[in-house]
Amino acid sequence: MAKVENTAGFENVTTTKPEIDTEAAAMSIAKPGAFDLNKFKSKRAAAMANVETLLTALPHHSISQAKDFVRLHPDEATYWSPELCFANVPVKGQKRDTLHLIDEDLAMRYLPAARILRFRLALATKPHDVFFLCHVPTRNEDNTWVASNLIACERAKTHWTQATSRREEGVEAYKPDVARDADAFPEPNWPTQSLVDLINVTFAGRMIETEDHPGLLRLIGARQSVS
Amino acid sequence: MSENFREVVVCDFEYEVAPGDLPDVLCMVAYILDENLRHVRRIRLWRGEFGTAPPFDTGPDVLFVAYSAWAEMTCFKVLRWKFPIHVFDLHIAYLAASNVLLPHCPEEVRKKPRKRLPDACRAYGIEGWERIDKDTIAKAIGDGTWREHYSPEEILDYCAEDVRMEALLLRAQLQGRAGLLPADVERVLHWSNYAAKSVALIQARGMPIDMVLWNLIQENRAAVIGELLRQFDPSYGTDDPIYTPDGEWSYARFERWLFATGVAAWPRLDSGRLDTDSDAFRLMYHVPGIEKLHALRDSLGTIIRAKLPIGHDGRNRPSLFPFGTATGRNAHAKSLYNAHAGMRSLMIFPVGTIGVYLD
Repeated sequence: MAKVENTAGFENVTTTKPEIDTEAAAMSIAKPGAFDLNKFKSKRAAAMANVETLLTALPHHSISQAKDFVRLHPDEATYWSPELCFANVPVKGQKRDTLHLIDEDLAMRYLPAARILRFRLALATKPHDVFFLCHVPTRNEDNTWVASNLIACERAKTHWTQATSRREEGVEAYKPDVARDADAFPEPNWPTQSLVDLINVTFAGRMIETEDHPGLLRLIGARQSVS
Repeated sequence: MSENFREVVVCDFEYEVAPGDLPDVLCMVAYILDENLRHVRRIRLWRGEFGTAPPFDTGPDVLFVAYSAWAEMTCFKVLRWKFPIHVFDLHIAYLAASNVLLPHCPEEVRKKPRKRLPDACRAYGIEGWERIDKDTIAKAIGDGTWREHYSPEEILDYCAEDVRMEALLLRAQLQGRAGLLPADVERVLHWSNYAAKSVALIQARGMPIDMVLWNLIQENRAAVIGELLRQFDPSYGTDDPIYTPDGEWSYARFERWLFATGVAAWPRLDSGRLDTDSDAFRLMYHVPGIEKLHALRDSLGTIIRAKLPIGHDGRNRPSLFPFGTATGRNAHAKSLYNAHAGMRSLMIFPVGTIGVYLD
């Protein structure tokens, strides 16, 4: 069945008709290099002495949304912001609205009061230095959810604390639970970057400071500027 | 400095295959090229002439080249040959060069470009198959009707033409051309080795199916469909049900049902039609009945069209098409993993063995 024009020790082999252009330029294919573990060897320490890893944009959410034990920075004067103004802006292509920082004067002038959110941001971490900015409520402190949230935040300054909703029990509040063992998780290695820097990088591009900011235009239903 | 491959084997198999079965190898043609990709010799083997090992070297100095090499590796498994150490899949090299997201004009109807060997060759400006009706012969070989129309010699010639084109394509891919970057050999080798060999191993084994249950469902298909519709079709029993009694979905009736039940908004495609893919359904799970309807859609297709390719050994062997989607995932349309999760109960593992599902 097959051609038997053996010239090279194989059966069914032919060399009679070159099937591709033998005049074509010589080309070759390099073999992949042998596996060398040194290629992947870590050459730098995780953090060189006195140089910590620069934190980039952090997640931000409430203490209960962490769904884990949390610590808030104990230095409230330095790592808890004053009350700030925010607005949620719908962004095309994203399922959730995106939280923007907004200048209070602009917010008051253009937005209904219900659209303006006000809370503090505090540097926080889950176990093993998973940092985030924690929303700390500042209004409606007589509301049971807010009150229990504040208790959890306060307790998290010194203890690993988890805030869990009690809605399923029919109670309108969070349950602040402290970790059973104080040394269950290592103490946080708090970064030395300032809170201002961390907020700045977290909300980069999401700070409404001018009247023509696309986020504000979206909120008030104004035509976007294309210039 | 890296060393070059001493020899390059460009190879193609032709085989008959029934849905879900392993290939029944018909013939093989291989071109042996030297280090400079110059033709040295050609090997043509017909059924019955295959030995216990490949008729070429498959060691560390040799590069094995094929288009959709998983098929060739599956033939290797069937023939009980040891895999080559280095595999270069021309299909994967083409996907790597051409799977780019192009600007999309919403006015145009997008058509997924085909990525078969002739399509790849055309993309690189290589003409061929002028004297061969490739689609007809390929179909005749696959379903075994070639005997009525072609001689074994013609089938071998057809196979050899594919190999000749593959050798030209290899050169073209190494050089690149406008819009198609030269192949990143090291990466293509990595992807090819993984995809070709792992797919071949998966195919060789197949997914064991509970054939008693599967046959029971098929024999009582009408009753099973009727019960599923009763339980899961939210429009069941109305004057205008979404599904026909034999389980056929109607887009128009679904649209009417949405309107009748007061669903004012539903995700739509650029074309304006309702989006009926899984993501759209999941997005609308808050609408009563939609989650069940989604489960029904995912399950009925498997049952009605019996689209699982199941071999004579009771094992499911869908084509897996590694890197086959625009985003580089496997395109395994006829796999149980592509149906509703409830359908996975059709998998059954032999007594004393455990199946581990690693997602």
